[in-house]
Amino acid sequence: MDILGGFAFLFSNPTALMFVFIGALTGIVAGAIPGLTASAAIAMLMPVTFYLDPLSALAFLYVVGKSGRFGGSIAAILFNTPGTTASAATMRDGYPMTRQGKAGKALKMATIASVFGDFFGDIMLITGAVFIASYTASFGPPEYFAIYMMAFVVIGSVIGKSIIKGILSTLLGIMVSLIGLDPITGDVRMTMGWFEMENGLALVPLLIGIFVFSEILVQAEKADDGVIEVADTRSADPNANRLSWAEVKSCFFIMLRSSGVGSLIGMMPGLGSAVACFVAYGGERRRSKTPEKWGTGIIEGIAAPESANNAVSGPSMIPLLTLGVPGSTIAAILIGVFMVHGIQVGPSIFQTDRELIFGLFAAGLLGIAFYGLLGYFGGPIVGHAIAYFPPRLIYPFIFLTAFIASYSARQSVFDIGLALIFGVIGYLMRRADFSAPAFIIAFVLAKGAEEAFRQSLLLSNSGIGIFLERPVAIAFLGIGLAVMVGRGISVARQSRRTG
Amino acid sequence: MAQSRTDLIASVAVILTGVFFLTLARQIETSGYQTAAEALVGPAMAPTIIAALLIGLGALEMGAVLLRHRSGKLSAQTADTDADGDEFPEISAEVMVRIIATVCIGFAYVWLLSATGYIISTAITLVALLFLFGTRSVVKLALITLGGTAIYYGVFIWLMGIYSPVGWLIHLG
Repeated sequence: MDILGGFAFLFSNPTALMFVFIGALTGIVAGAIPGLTASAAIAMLMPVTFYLDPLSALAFLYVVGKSGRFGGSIAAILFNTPGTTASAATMRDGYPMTRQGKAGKALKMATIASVFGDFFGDIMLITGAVFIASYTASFGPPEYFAIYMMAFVVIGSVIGKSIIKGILSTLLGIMVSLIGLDPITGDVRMTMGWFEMENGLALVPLLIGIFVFSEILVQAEKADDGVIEVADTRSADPNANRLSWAEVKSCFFIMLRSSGVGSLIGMMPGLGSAVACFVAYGGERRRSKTPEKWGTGIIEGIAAPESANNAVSGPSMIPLLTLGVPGSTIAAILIGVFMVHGIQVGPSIFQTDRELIFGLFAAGLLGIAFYGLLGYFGGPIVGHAIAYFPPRLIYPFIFLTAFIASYSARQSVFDIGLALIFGVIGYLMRRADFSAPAFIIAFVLAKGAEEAFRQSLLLSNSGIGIFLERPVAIAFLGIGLAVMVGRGISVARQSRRTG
Repeated sequence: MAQSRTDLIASVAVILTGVFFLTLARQIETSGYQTAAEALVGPAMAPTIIAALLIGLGALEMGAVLLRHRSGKLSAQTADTDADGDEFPEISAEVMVRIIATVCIGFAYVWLLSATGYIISTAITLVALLFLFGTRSVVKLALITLGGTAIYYGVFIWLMGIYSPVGWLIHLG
């Protein structure tokens, strides 16, 4: 019963408990601000965690990621704007419910579904991770290189509409990560004489640039009068905003199936909540006896996507903890936190830092309970508070926060310049339909992939043939190829249908 | 048409990026290796391969764009959309000025931080950003700037202990 030990470890750390609560609240608020994703919030908050102990640091950001996925539903329901891409499907029924004066009911359903999905996903994580890690602990450099290659190919192929652009985004992330000292020989690579780049480009300013500064430029572009419109949520029916137990029960199997879909998608590197919410929504609508009602404002249309998108959270940590490959952008950012605290992610983490990992799992479960309570009773308050402050006031402060966050990581003015440059690059990438998540995940993984490749070649008597001598390596490379080919066929079919 | 133009520019940019990094990769010193095999697996290998892939795939993307354009398969949309589904309308001159101004304010903030320290640079930047994003009332600008700067100084510099550089031009705090 390692999870009980995890709870004991968590409860023996009052700082960690406090940060779990703060993380739950912060994530809800960050997710509810249109345009500010959980990833962006985590990128800005990451430097704060450098001063904390490992459990508090990881628990804080992990819970921000969870509650941020839920927080996006507040904006989707109240403002008809997804707070995060994971809430885009929730908008379809959430906002019509708000127009009918049932915003309170919609928010309560979103809260319950998110909590259900998140708990489901975390149970998958807790039961699955240890089992998988025991198998992956025997992997060597060839297997790890094959896993990294699979991750690059899958992430590049699946994210976004264009496979070529997805893979180019991945390649750009890899290229940027190679700047600095060679990890094996210590030779200086591609620094152009800049001393500050010898240790490589820092993750924090890169993240802040790609996710936060680019979003600020997007907001600067999308000019309006700066007012977030909140629909009139009043209804003549006094029970309009009550959510009955019978209604929740009627959505039980929808939430269960959607949570299963979200968990499965969460385990695959690169897919994430945005894919899960639409897959679940579409699947449940097709299953429904009244599909014509979906999109008109029904609670089932909220239950499905919210369960699915939150069920991604826990399982996306499985490839991170068992293989060292992040299953999502948030997991990629957490790798940075692990590294700062001197913890090597991968299957051995269950031997070297078992107490910490189960403490993190416990923090996740507690965080779900916290954001569930905050969301159920405080969701409308958060929404209306955010609507009170128009974007023209919010975004200048987000800019300042991003600025000081990029500076604070290494107290370096160079890092701020780096964040700004990558902000421009991130904005241009978004405009040109390239994928920022693929770029970031590739950036995080590239050094490990290169090391594994070169170690494999140096160990091998048959050169590159070593990857064909290991069945596990062949399997992972095969999966990557199959996903890319499958995606290519799907894109070609879609193009023929619309062309 | 907007999408095609954007894709073409993007593919050219990728090719040029690949050429740039390939040039840098060729400059990586690989001396000090005992065998040719060790040198081949050395620090220049990965950058060279990745740069070559960037050039190759960039050219492939450019070819695909030109082929789509010639065969008349233009997107019906005039708005670009990114991988997350955000829509980007065509940029007007006014919007372009606003975007460039935001970037310039950012770099000006960097310079001001070194020149004047945190308090003055933050106050000036906040005024500029609030104005750029649409706040026009002088009273609001003044109050929000003073209050915001004080809060940020209090939280980040005083409470969290982040080092505020001493401005070489002028310093406050």
